[in-house]
Amino acid sequence: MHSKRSKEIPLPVIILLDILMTALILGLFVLFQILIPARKSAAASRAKIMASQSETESKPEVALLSSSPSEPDREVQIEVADISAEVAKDVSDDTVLTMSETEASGDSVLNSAIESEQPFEKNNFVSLPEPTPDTRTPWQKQFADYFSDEIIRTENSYSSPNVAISIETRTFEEGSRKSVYHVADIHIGSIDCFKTYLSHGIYTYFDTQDVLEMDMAADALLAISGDFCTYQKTGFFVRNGEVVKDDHSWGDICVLYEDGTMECIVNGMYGKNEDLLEKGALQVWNFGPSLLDKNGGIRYDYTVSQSVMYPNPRSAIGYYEPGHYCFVVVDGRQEGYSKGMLLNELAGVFQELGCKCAYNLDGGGSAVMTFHHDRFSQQSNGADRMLGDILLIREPEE
Amino acid sequence: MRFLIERFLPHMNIALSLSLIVVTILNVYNPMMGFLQGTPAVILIGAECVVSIFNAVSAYILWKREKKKRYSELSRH
Repeated sequence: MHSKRSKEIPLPVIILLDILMTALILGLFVLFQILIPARKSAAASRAKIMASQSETESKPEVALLSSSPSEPDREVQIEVADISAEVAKDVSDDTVLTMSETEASGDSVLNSAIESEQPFEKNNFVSLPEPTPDTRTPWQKQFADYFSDEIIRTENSYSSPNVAISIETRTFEEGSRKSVYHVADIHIGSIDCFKTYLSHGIYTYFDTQDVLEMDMAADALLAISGDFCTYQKTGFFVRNGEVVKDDHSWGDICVLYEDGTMECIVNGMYGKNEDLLEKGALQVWNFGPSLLDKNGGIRYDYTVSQSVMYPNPRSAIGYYEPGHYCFVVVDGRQEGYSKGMLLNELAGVFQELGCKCAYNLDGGGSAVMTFHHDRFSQQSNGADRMLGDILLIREPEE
Repeated sequence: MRFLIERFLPHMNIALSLSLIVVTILNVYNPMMGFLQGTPAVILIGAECVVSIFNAVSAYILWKREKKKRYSELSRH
């Protein structure tokens, strides 16, 4: 009976049924592996946004309540300031002001100052204003030569009191293979200038956004592709001090600390996630590999799959010292313009730049650099691939 | 049951193997997405293992029975 049946079903139909069954299994796999977790993550993100919105709506009332008791104090301060300004004017206008008059007016100001419990010095009325104290951060002092008092923008540079960026486009040749890469030298006045931005501003699994949209939303001066954390299943991810995924990372990670130091840790040898947070981890990237060894030399023992070892477009970050970093983006997969680089060639670039540590980020079609809210690098095949996250430099929030 | 073992199980094995090959290739080209991590991947690999073992054992038993049958037929002649 069975042999009869097997004769009835032709071989192409059996093959077709096998293919259909394979497709069904793969469909179920994608559904449970990607789509359902993505939907759950999106729902969680929405709930988080709603919670944060309701928090911000309730905040102004609290602020109003808290500010109301101190309102009289502020009025007194304003009055004192007005009086002192009038007195100073009198002193400058009428140079033959008698001592008794000065004392009298000064006493009245002093009395009001005492009443408002504000420290106030009698000498302030007659002495010249004290020179303004140097409010610059240690990095602003250290990199003062790079910063400018006013914002200066050029085609490939930017400088302000807090940020200095200069981008250089270079070529690399290895035999007949030519590659074009862009090196952005970055000096920042505070760690607030170095941020990351997740697609649509919040972590959602399998979510992406156009790089220029992210650039605009984050008000970035300079940005490069990140580690595509929204597509990664596991790992330890910290973004702007907030933990977005709390699994242990077994590959190479890159950590930016609050004090501006950066560290590349290989093969997940960093202890526990909490240890990094205790040390003040502000950003933790999971892609890799780490490109340089501890002495700043080229590292060869990578723990990545063979598929990424070929010449490719690349995106990477380098670290010189706290407050001084560099972004490197290699254009590639474009015949006649740029082929791309091998990982050890990219490591050579960072060695030449003199970086202490360097870390490879998501390359290929994702490798992109934006500057002045426009693409600075040429994304491979002209593709405008949507990204999961970006690393960016911006002016600090006031 | 015999129909299931003889007709369905080998095809199930083919389909699961092809799926696993596809997922493995995807994982090689994009390891960061963790195609071979998580419960669905474990279920896929587990199902492939179970079906393969079941298929192999049943094929062996059927072959053994067939051999015995032929041997007895030959000895009768």
